[in-house]
Amino acid sequence: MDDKEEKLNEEIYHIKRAKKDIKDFDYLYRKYYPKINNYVYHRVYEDSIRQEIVSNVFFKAMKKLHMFTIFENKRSSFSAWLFRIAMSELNQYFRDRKRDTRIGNKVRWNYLPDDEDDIPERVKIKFEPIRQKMQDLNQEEQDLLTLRFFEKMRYKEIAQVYKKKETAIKVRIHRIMKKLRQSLEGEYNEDI
Amino acid sequence: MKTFEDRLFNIKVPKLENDPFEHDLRRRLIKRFVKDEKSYKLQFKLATSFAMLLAIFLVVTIIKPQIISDINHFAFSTEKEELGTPLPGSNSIFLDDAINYTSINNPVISKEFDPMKYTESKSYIVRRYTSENSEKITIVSEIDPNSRKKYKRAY
Repeated sequence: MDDKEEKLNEEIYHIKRAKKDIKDFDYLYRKYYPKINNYVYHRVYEDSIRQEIVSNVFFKAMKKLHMFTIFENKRSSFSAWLFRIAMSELNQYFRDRKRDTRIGNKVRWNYLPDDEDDIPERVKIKFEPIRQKMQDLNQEEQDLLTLRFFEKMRYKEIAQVYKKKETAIKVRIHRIMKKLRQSLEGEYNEDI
Repeated sequence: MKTFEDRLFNIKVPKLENDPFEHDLRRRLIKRFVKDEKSYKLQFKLATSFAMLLAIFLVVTIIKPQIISDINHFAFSTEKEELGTPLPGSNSIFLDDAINYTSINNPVISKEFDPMKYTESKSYIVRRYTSENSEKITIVSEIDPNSRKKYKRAY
């Protein structure tokens, strides 16, 4: 049994225990809070809203844990389930407060540390302009790019979140990247 | 496109670490789910125990109905009532069998005729009252057959 499979089995063990005694959800909370928190952080701007959304995600997850089923072939990951809840909460937020999203963009991300000396010259793309340009994309496109490039999720994991085939997700992200690259032309002197 | 993807993948992304909200939210979740669960469990245990007590009491009252009277006597110190004793004013119904001699089945008079040929069409109660001056009043009351049936059904 490799390390990855062992971790997955451990997670399944804790999910099963948490279903019987909710106190065991603590393991899952500690493991997934940073991931969900950062994902929401990369999608919304105000701390209070991020906290509200993250709260809703975990409250819902705990409330509906009994509805989460672990497939025999382990295709349905808990992580994907949590991200689906987070996405649903974010979409709800964006539907409710569509007008607020642009305003936030102007005031955020300026604090990003510039200590990128350890990053090779050829990959120096700044986060802020990318994030700004992403605002021109629709919510689903922003979600996909956030999951892939900010949360560093594999295509397989994203496919689980969207309940789609991995190849379909790859094609979709490729198209969105093309769109983003076109919008970034002119921002950088060199060819990106 | 591959280069662009690599560059995007290597963007330095700001991350939230040691977020104090993590502990705050954890406390709220515990308060909401763990403590609530404890109180629900306690309430459930209490409700189950009470339901079991009621069920036992119900079974006991079925097996030994006298216990209700005993409890009533114990709680309010009232006189014990024997089950099956007639209600006040309902003596006539219980006496009905005892005073069979007032009916056509009276063995003394039934020799004169066949009681099977007759059916009771009407019943009367005859009461005599005597005053201090020895004046007597006799009241003959016809018994309503419908009300008799009702009494019989009730017992």
